[in-house]
Amino acid sequence: MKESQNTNNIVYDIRGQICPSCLLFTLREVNTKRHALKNEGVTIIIKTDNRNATTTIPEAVANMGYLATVEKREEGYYQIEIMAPPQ
Amino acid sequence: MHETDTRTEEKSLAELRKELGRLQAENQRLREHEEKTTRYIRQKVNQLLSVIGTMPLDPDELDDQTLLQLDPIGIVSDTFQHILEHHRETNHALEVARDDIRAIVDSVGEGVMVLNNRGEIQTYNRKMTPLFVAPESEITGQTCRQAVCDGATGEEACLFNQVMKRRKSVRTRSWECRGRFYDVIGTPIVDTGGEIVRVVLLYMDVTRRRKSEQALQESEDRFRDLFENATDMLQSIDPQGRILVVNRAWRETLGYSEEEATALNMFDIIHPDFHEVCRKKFEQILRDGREFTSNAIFLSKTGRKIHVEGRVNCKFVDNKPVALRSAFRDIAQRRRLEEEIRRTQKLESVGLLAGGIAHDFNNLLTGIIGNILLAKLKSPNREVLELLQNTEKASYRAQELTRQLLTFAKGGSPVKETASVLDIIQEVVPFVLSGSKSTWRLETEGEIPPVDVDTGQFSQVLQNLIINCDQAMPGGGTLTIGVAVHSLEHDTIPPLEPGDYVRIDIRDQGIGIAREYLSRVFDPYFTTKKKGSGLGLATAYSIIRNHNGLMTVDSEPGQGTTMTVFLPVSSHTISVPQPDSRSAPRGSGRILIMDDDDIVREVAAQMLGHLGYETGEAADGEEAVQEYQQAMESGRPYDGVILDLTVPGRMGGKETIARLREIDPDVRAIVSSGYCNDPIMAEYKAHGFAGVVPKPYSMEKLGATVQATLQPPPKPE
Repeated sequence: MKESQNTNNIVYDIRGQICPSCLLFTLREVNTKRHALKNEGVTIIIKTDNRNATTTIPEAVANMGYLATVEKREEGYYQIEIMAPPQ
Repeated sequence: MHETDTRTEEKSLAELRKELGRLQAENQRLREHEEKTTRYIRQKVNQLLSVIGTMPLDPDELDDQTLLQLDPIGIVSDTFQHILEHHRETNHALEVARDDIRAIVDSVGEGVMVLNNRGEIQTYNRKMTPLFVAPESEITGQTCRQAVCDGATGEEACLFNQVMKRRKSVRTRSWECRGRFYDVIGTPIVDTGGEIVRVVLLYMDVTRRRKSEQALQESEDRFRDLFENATDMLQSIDPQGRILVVNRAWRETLGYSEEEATALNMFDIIHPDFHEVCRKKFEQILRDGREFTSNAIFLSKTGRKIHVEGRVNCKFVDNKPVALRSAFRDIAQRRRLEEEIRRTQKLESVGLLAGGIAHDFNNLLTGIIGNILLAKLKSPNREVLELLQNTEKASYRAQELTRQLLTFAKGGSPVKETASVLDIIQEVVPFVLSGSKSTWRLETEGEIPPVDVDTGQFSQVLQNLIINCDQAMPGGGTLTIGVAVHSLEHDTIPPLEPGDYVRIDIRDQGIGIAREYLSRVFDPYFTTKKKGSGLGLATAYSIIRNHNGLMTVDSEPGQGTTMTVFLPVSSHTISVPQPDSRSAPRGSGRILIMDDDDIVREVAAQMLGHLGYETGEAADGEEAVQEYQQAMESGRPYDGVILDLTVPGRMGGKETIARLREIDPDVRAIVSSGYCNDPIMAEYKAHGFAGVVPKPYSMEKLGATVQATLQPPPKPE
């Protein structure tokens, strides 16, 4: 797992992991970064090559009140962006 | 020692083995416990993951040690806490949204009602209250059929049923509910499975709009009615000259249907001679918008020329011309009307003069004829008798002339009776044409109803017309009299009122009348004959106008002339004519004669004396009343009175009869006048008289009238 952060984006590269560890990892990060997500406009970006994760992660974070978008990148992985809905 | 040591070592070894076994067992138990705990954790984590909606843990991917390090239960627990927090926020937001929706629905100016899919009312706003038939406390849970329309709307027309059936929004316009009108929109609400779970009904009160629309429609109808029934030809034209709309008078005059008219250009109906001037005016008004008056000739669909006069103005919107509005009138009709008025005025002035002269003539003739009659009775000399007879004939011709003059008198009223024009024609025409070279034939169309005419006057009209026809055919010819019923629905032959008329066309094959004379043939003293008096057609015209009818003439030189008479159809049936007695009946009794003319009084007294009556005389109404009263008081009352209608400067017959009836309600009075066309002469009974005798009168006429008047009236049964 690689982590990088610019001003508002926290990027996790979890390529190589499969579900449910992808999901558990993401949920743990969403839980720990709750304040930043809701109040500071932070977006968590997950890079994964596990296809199941593109379903399980958006569904789970939606139940928690977040928006999740999935984008398939040319490099051969999926980018899932998680953010708080606009007020 | 060695043996002891050996035993001790063996004992220690045994203990060690035992301890080892215990430790191994303990270790086994701990391993089993750890495996059990790890399984439990996996199982519970899988359960929690299942709740979140994801797949179970894979032992190959996540070994026990990693699992324990990852702390999935802790992660999922935090996640659940996160989810619950989100649900709390969501519930709060939903509550706020629900309150917002409630406030919005309540503030909507129209009625809103929500039904479930069984049509039962779930909620509604306060604007719905006036639509409910049941108390508001009972509304929720009732069907809209029970609560609102009370079953008055059929199953097919029911909006809820239509929404459920068509599964989309449905609108009903102007639905009536207890005197008010609503536009109602029903909208389905479907769940995620596509099933209808709710139906929202929106009731928009359109009563005011509908009433405004009705008022607008009525207003439009009124203006359209006014437009359509205007007698002028109304038209609206666009700036390109295309006809936009025309009224009925326009269509009827020009002979086009509405569709045909709107396919025309204005120059299609304008005579080519007027194209240039009309085009200039048309272009001018589009530029400056100044209203103008126009005289032109229109062409009907059949090519008939119609002289019109009218005004044209232009409607501008945003300084651009959009329509030219015109009102035109067929001036030929107006010219006919003006001609009619001119003629009537001329007749009135001449009639006034003629009436005065005729009255004096009649008084003189009464004296002359009466004295001739008396002289004839008293003269034994045959030569003198012959001279007297000639004088008598001349006097009767003079009487006929005064009768014609009187026809012009203003206010002259014919003494009408219900009669058949066919009978009068068949009686008069053969008599007039006897000895003539001309023949005649009668052509009738359908059943001819009777008319109300003064038969004497109408006979005179016929006589004049037939004589004219006969004189127009000196070498002989055929005179055709056509009789038919003519219905006038609109004011198409001024000044005739709409209604049913008997139309009599008298056509000759004579020389015809020059066009320049046509408008004057009914003028008094206008004649083209060397020996004509100029009174024949004028008299005929005046008689027919006094019957609320009309006489017209149409002629082409060399083609003959047609005189047309219109007489209003009578609403009465023909009465059986009474036999006419020509002999002077004798009688007895006392008769008072009131007349301002000494000669008339004297002649009447002598005639009545000759017939067996006793007479008294009075020169005016005052004297007559005094004489009548004195006679009553002296016990020798008068049996009847003859009252002159007009006594210049003194009490005449009308006032006298009123005074006499105060003295003697049973007075038997005869009215007499030289103004034989006076309305009182025609309606003498309505003015209290029992009889009438126009001057001049013969002894036979006077005797018969007096005898009939003195007979007591039939007693009521």
